[in-house]
Amino acid sequence: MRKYNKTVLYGLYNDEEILKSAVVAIKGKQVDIWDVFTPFPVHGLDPLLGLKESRLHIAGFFYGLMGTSIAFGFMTWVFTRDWPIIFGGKPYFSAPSFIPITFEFTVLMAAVGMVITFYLVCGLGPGVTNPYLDNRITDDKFCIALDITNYSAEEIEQLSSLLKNTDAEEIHTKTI
Amino acid sequence: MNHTTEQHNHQFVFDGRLKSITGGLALIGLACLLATYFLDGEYSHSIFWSNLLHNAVFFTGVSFAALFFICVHTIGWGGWHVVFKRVPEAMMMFLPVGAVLIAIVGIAVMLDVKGTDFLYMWSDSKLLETDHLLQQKSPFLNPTVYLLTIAVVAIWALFAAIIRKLSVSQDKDAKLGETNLYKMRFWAAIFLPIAGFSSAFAIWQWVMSVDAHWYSTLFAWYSSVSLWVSSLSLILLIVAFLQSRNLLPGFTREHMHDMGKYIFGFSVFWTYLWFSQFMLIWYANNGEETQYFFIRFEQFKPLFFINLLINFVIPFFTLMMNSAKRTLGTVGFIAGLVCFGHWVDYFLMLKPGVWHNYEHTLHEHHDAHHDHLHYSVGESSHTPIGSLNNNQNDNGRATLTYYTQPEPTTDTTQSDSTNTAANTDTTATIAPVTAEPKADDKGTTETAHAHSHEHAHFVMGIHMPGLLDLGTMLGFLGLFLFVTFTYLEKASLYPKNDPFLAESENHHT
Repeated sequence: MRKYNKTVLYGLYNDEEILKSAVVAIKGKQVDIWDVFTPFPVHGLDPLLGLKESRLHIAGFFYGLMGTSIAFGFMTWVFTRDWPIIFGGKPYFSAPSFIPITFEFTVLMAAVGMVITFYLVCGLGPGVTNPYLDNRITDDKFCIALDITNYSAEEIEQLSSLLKNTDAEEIHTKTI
Repeated sequence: MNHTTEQHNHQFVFDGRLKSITGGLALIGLACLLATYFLDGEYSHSIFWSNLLHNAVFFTGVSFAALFFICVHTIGWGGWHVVFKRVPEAMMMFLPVGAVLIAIVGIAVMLDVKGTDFLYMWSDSKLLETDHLLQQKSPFLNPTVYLLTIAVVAIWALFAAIIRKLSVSQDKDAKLGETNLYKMRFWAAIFLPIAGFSSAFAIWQWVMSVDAHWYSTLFAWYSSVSLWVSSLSLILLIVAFLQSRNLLPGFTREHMHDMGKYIFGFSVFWTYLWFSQFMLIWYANNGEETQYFFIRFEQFKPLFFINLLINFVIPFFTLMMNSAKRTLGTVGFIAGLVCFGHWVDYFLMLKPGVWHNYEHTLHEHHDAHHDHLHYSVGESSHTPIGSLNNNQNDNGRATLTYYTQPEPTTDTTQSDSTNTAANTDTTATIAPVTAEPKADDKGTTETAHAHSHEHAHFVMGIHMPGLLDLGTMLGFLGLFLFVTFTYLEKASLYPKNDPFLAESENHHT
């Protein structure tokens, strides 16, 4: 189990709209939100949290470009230098016949490359288990988590009342 | 939110200035078309007739695709497009005008007006007596069946009128919002299968039969997607124009993003179909199929690549970025480019065939010995081996062998060179797309030039759209916009009783 060594104060909400207004309210009090957990992607949450646009698709473009050049380059090398064979009376370098494979390989490289990058960036992978705050986050609860690792009891008290004021159903503390 | 939107001004006014701009464009187009008629006598008015056909088909098709847009979204419970649905609804009302334009061409073909023979070889009765392939195809390719395409457009126009009427009358009464939506779904459900089959039928008649000896089963798909992309682009451009007049406050970045995705996605789909058609024909290398691309690649090389550049490469790399699809500057620019690009695509579908038919007929008069299969395949090729076969074989099949394998028995020098070629890269010479004159073929190259001395190698309006052709396009565009604006004016741009209006106004991607 991965360890964050963090103490987290979190509130659970019943609805995405309540969650969104809670995020706005908490941000408005200049309180840093450590993370938000939702059972499904909530539209419009990223800008509220001030998250930058993911760069994953830019990586995807370059993986695709890599796939294009590898596939096209490899086929060109094989059919013009390494093992030239005439197919159907065509010249050795027959670009149109390379296109379908180039296309497929581009898609494959872009897709696999993005999946691997995503797993690495998120610290996911086979055999990796991440700590979770609450089971119901993957079911029907929306969660806002605040990092309270070095906070005094008084400050924690203030933060929980802030969460309460934003209509949190439940408020818990957990060390992960 | 909805309340303030509703009080906004939603009435488009087709004012005098706009009328004179669009009407003026239409007149310029008419002048260009007439000028073409008086200037292309040298080519027996083939440029005039092909321009008329080209623009009539293209703009009728764009209008048809707008009707298709409405029907597809209605039948799929689509709601996001409702804020701008009046735009495609106005565009589809061009269909009756399109029917008239097609009828002009159709009747001219039926009456055998001078120049129409070059559009459709199958309408040439003299040729029909001797051409086996055309005889076989004549139950489908004949003036009577061609006139049926006018009926097809009339049926489309009927559906357009019914659906538009239902949609516009939603505004009258809140209760009609839902009832008419169901009625529109009923008509859309009937229209879509009809549209699928009848558009293929019409495209085969109008466009594919220009290359009368040739056919491709993918052609109808490929050319319909061309129209679909152009229509999406024109919808977006007209919407952007209305927005610049502050008439469509409901149309947001989110809608633009979706239109951008549509244009991006279908540009890729168009390329997919274009390439699927090209690659199978290139790979099989079957004479009567390859001739289509052979002519385009040899004699229309610049346009051949420009077509791919502006319809695939530029939109693909430009619209790939998320932010590009959400900026009017980029989407609008690409929409304009792609719309023009598909007009060029249609140009490239029609003109080479027309030019081929024209050259063909020239030879018909010059040389009575020619066999017809022979014409259909090799005649317009100026390449050495093609002409070598032309000259040395009386057998009609001989030119076909150019595309497959030169017959070794006909000439020893030729079979020698074929054998050598098999072991080196010069095998390329039997693949038409890479055929180039080789040093060995010098003698025959001269023969080829002598043989084709009367061929013009570059004709404005055939090998490249010239000013008159672009003017004609602008004229038809002006006519199209004139009709569209006339109908836009007739209804509020805000379909206030459409059940999906709220969904459309809150659309997020």
